[in-house]
Amino acid sequence: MNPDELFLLVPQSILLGAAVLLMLMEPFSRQAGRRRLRMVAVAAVAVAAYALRLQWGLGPRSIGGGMIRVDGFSLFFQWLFLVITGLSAVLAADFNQREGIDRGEYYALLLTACSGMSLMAMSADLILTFIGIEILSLSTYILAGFKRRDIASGESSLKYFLLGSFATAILLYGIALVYGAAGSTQYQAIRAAAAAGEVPALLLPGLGLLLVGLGFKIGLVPFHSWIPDVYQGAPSPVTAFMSVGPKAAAIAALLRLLVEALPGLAPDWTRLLWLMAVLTMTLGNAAALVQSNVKRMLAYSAIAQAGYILVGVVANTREGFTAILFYLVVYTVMNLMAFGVVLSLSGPGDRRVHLEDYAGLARRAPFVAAALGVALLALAGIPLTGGFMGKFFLFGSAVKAGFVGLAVIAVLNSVLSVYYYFRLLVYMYMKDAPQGGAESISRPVGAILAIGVFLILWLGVGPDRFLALAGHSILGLK
Amino acid sequence: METLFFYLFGGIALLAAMSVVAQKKIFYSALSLIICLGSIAVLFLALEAPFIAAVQVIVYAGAVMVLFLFVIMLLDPFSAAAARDKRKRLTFLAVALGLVALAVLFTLMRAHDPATPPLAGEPPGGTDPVGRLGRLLFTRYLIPFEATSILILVAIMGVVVLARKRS
Repeated sequence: MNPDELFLLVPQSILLGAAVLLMLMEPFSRQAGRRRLRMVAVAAVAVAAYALRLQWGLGPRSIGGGMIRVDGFSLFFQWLFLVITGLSAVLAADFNQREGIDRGEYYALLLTACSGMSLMAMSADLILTFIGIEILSLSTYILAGFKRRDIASGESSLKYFLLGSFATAILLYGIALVYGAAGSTQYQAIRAAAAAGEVPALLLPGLGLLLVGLGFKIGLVPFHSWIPDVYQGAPSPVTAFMSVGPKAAAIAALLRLLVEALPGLAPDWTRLLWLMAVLTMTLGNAAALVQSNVKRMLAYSAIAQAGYILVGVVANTREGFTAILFYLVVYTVMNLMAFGVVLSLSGPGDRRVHLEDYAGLARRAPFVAAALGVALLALAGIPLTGGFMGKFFLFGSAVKAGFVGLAVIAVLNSVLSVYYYFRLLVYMYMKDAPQGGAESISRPVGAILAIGVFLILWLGVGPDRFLALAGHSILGLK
Repeated sequence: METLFFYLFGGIALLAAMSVVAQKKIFYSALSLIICLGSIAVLFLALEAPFIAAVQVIVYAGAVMVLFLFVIMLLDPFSAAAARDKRKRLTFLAVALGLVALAVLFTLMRAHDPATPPLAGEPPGGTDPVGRLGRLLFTRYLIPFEATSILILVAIMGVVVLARKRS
């Protein structure tokens, strides 16, 4: 480990140092000093983002004998995770104070989750990928159950923990089989083993089990059953974080694994993922149609969105991967906006999350309703929003790669999804409010919503710069 | 001799593992698990990995199992044992899927040539197995080793969060 390599790990070290600092500050903080805890977390994220900026021009490097890869791909994802973590910390502020869970551990766990996600995106070795997944999972299990007095939060945490442990065991089994087939856990060695003559027999079931483990984290059908209950029961800011962070991290790990370690099995995994993409989109959208709880509806919508992203993986081309990165940025913005509104309006006890609670919102809080409206339009993929552009690139890449049937199914699904996104819009704009109290949101959440609206429209009208950035990031993946 | 040992203790491990699942009382399940872990430790010995065998006994058969038993005692297993699983249909499905998995594994074993897998380089340092393991941990696997410490830190935080008093 030379100083040069350590420099590349500085962003992660900052995050973890801040997490430890938060744990030390927590016992000495009085109720009034809670703001400082949050500031430490946000400052750590900002400094880490700056440290990452310094690494951008260095070109691809690897640390620890090829264990960790620092290239455009991992830098892109690290940056995305930092944004997600910072925004989650800011979004959680008022909510946590209201619910009495504004504690240092909350922000410390967000930071460790962020570093776990970063490890997943950087790792080029199954062992490190596994540890990254576990750091992320443990952090989110605890965050989901952070509201200890709330029975739904406890249920959410326990369900996530039990099913997640099971998925982890399956993932480990897959890693063991791949190790048995290739004699190594390093991606390059696995690739070499699959390329030399015939594919070892153990590699195929290994691939299958790895897909189960990662599919669980992404929330792909048929490994999605935990998502609705866990998303609904967890505190809303945690749900916001879970719906974007771990999903993006698992997709990053999946991409690196499939493209760098298992390109030799591409015909097999494209066939498997094709089926999973179709099931995920269709089932997610169909189930979202009948939900009356907004958090649960957004949970099913998140399942469906993962299906759209999978379309780009199935395409298995540079265009497909670029589209995935682009869509993940859009998805992060629109989902965090939607959940930002949900957690601001959910009221004491996180209870007001039903469709009826949104009736007449446009009259009570025009700005909030408009912001949520833009997010929903983007989620539905209406033109002029970033959501449309993202889907256009994703499905377009599938068509170019020869998966016309998959693209048609994806477009039909998008049409289906318009129904439930618009139903919420109808409630906000066309129904009368049962009780006419004015809603108020905190200033930071308002600022995030405003920036989000701007970003979604910008990405929808002029996506070129972001697309170029995504295309440049993908070059590291090989 | 080695083959005999393998089949003997491999068989015991399998039977004990089945017993873990089949026992009606959770306490007996835990005891079966100890037998299973112990025979796997013997298998490690036969593979000339005495250190791993010792760790297996100390950590799994020792520490982890004591923890299991503590939890079981605290949660009163004798009332829990009465609650039987009523979903028989799912049991049939599980058995059927298990047989499918067995068939797949069997075909794989037939197809897999144990001589082929290339091993990832000779580990550095001497003939002493513990020394080799230590060197590997602090050279090739340094980053996962350090990352594991983060994992443990997160687990500690989790305990603090879940076990704290109401404030």
